[in-house]
Amino acid sequence: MTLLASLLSGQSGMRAANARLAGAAHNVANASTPGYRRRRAALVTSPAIRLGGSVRGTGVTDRGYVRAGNDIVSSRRVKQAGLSSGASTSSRALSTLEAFASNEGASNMNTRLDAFWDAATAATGDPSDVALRRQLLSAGNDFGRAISGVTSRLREGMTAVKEELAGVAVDVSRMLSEVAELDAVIMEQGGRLSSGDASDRRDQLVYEISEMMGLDYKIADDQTAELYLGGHVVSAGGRARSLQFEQDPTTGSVSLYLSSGDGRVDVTDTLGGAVGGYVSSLEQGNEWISDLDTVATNFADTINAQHALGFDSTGTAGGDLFTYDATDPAGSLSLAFDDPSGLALASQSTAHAGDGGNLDALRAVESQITVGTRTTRQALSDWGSAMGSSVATASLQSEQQGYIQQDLEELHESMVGVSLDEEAARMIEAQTAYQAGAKVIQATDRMFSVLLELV
Amino acid sequence: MAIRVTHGWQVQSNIQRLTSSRSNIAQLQEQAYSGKKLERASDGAQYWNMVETLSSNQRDQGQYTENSSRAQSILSIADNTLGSVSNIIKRVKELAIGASSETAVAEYHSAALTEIDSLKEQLVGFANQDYAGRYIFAGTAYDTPPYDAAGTYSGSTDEPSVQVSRQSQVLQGLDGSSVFNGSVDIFGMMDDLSAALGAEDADGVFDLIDEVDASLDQVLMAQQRVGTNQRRSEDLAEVAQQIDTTLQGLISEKVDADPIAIYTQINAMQSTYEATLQISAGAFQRSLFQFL
Repeated sequence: MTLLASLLSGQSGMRAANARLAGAAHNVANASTPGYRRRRAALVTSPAIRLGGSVRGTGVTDRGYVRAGNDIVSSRRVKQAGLSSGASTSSRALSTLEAFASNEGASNMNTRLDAFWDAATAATGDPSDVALRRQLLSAGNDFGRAISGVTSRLREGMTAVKEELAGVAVDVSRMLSEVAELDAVIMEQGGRLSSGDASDRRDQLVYEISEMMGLDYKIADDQTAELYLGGHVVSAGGRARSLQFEQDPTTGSVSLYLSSGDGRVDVTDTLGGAVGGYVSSLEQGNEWISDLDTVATNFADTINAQHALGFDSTGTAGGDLFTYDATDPAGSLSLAFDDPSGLALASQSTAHAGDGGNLDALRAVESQITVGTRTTRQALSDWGSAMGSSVATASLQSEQQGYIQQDLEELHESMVGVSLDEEAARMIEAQTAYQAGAKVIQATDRMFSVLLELV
Repeated sequence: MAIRVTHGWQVQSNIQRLTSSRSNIAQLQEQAYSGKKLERASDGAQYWNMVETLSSNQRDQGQYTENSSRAQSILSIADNTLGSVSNIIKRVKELAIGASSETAVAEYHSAALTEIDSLKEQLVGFANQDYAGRYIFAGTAYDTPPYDAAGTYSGSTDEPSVQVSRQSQVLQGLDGSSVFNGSVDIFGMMDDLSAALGAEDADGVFDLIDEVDASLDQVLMAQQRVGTNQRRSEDLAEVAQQIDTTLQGLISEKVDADPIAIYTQINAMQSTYEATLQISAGAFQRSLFQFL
């Protein structure tokens, strides 16, 4: 019977070596598979048998595979993916908006504004000169176009961001539904005793979803994933909510909801990840446009008020010089007329050619057109500077979050990733163990033969 | 215990290093192409405001220089014209002194009369002097001739000026009535002289000599005003140019890229990139599998 125990041990050793080799082969095959966690054969000592007065071991038992990893690190990594992706998306989106504004000539607004005031200064040389009046109108038109151009381009950029956002929301909902399906499979396969393939795919999806919307994540006892967003359950126990995107047709503002059946909750301000990054960049874009709206209305209103006090070339009282749509002032700022004789530069209705009284008054209001305590020029410089500062800060935050993520990725990868050198060593180890197991069986066989010859 | 370096991580970190090197090179190349290190506000948000303000001031200086140049042309013509006017008045004085002499004969009076009438015509011509259609002595009503043949003023008493710095303006035209019809009405004085000469009234001519002197003073005063404005305009134009040059230097320091520094940095980055490529390729070629 002791020989039988040796035979069983040898056999189990060969089986275990085979399992180890299969594990190493599986690891090598999946060395570059996204989300794959390396496996190792879960081997335990087989139960001993009692033979007469002694106890004999019967070898090793293969209990399947164990997935490498640490749930706390995984959870932190998933959360960090949301933070990092949110920061990089925000940085990218803001940088795109800045590029949109710059291509249209964000700095051009100040150049054009200067050109307008310089044309006014030039017109002091001869207020009746049609060419100088035309130059002043043309410069005013250019300024209107610069500010409305930048605003339109910003809106275009924001529309592109919203379209991307709507697409991401659809992707997130599909992926959440896949997570729920995989969790159902994991439950069916028996949690920890499952092969781990579904868990790998599920964890990879959770990671990608977190990159998109930012998640808190933990693994339940039954190995299913519990996903939360700002205290709201996103997915648990094989059931998931969906992410809904809605845009107000009038104001264009966007809202995002976590939806399940009939109920839904507004998570627009809670979302992280790429979606959160897009939402925050849209808010920033709206602020930029709102600032330009203030500049445009203050500029047009003050100039118009002064222009109305003067008289044009025909002695008629001046009307508005600039016009805008109150629902989109910066995007619609333009000249109210294009006839040079309509410029009310004179201070008297029986104006002489050189009567530039109202022109001087118009030039004087430059310092009175204020946004807060700043002049228009300063406000536009501040605007550009604040935009650059937001983009640079977002880029810095993205970089910092990237470093934290890199550290966590390195830690996670060092736990779950496949080292080819290590797998090669384990293959040699398995091969050697397999050969040793075979030798044990061979030796036991010989001992059996010796025993049989005695019979 | 050493941290496990896995195949996947090695690949990923190498890709990151290569991407980062390439991105740095691309950024420097962009600066080399554009010649600017500050193209968008985010390239240097801390300098953006300053550069915008400096650029704005610089553009203003350009317009001020242009205005000064135009004003100087007009003032220069005004100066020359007033010089000619004073020469005429000097000649009028010579004629008046000659005609007021007891020895002056009737022929002299007649010749002087003819010349005085002709000089008045010239004077009206000078008073209607224009610069490219702009009448210099018409005040702000400079689009029509300010004087008729009789010397009656129809211009404006407001004087046009132009902005040549943030705070300063200079004249670019004069109120003709203060030059020709001020405390002394020069045309009236010439009419009186003409009448006295016609009447061969030597005493009457003599009495008018003081008025002729006062006329000359009046013109010289106007010429002095023109000169003062000319000098101010020249000075301010010079200041505007100096400010422009200084501002250009300050802007360039923040905006323009230093080509030598960029090329040096690109070379350094390229060396780093090539080293990363070589190390990456070497690291992937070796593993324990080669010895199995």
